Amino acid sequence: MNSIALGLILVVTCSFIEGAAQVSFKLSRVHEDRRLIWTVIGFAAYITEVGLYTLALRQIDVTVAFAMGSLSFVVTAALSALILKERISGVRGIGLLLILCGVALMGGQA
Amino acid sequence: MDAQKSARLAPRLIVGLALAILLDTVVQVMWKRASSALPAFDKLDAAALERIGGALVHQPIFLLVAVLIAAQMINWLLTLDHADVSFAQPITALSYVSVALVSRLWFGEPITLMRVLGMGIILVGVFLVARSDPNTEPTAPEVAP
Repeated sequence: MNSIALGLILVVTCSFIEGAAQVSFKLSRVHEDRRLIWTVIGFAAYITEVGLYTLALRQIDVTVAFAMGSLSFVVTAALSALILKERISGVRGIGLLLILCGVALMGGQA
Repeated sequence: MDAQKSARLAPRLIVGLALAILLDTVVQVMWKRASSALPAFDKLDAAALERIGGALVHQPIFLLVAVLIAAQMINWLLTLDHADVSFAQPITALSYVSVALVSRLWFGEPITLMRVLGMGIILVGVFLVARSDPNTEPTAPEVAP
């Protein structure tokens, strides 16, 4: 596989893991009886993300990788809407859509 | 005292936000520097991971990155004592720009028009997300009657 494409896949994967970590931490605050397990899952996700981001930086410019990390806001919002039933307001929805466009644009410039 | 209003521009908050951007930038640039020293790979199989894992041990700069990430988290938590996330987060998103500038100087990473456009759109998006209603409560679907 093209090494830049591999780097992009790694960065996008990091954002999904970051979103999952954020939701895990939120769940650890919501469910008192499962606080420990959700906290451990959140930290494990972070450690995995650190490893994958290290590999991603080997492949693509940090200028692109770091800015594309904002995709995690979109993933976090989507997962929060699905799992935590948080609502996405109009302004927030437009902001998330813009982030998605910007990330796609940056990805094309890797 | 109108603590809410005056706290927004408190010197401690300004220092905290500036330090957050600085640490973000240093972490990303050092991380890139450390990663660049790893062996090249074009697929992630066991052999590639073994080579990379072996090389990691010989890059003490990763330890520095870990320490800086810890410092970054502590500074962020302290800064949030003085401001809302919705106010502080879009400001630290400016580190996308500082990372691009430093990476250009140090690694020669190009700052093209399209990259500037991409970062600009992301910054506007982050700003809009942050300024939207921070809490859509009542959430807690599990306590619904």
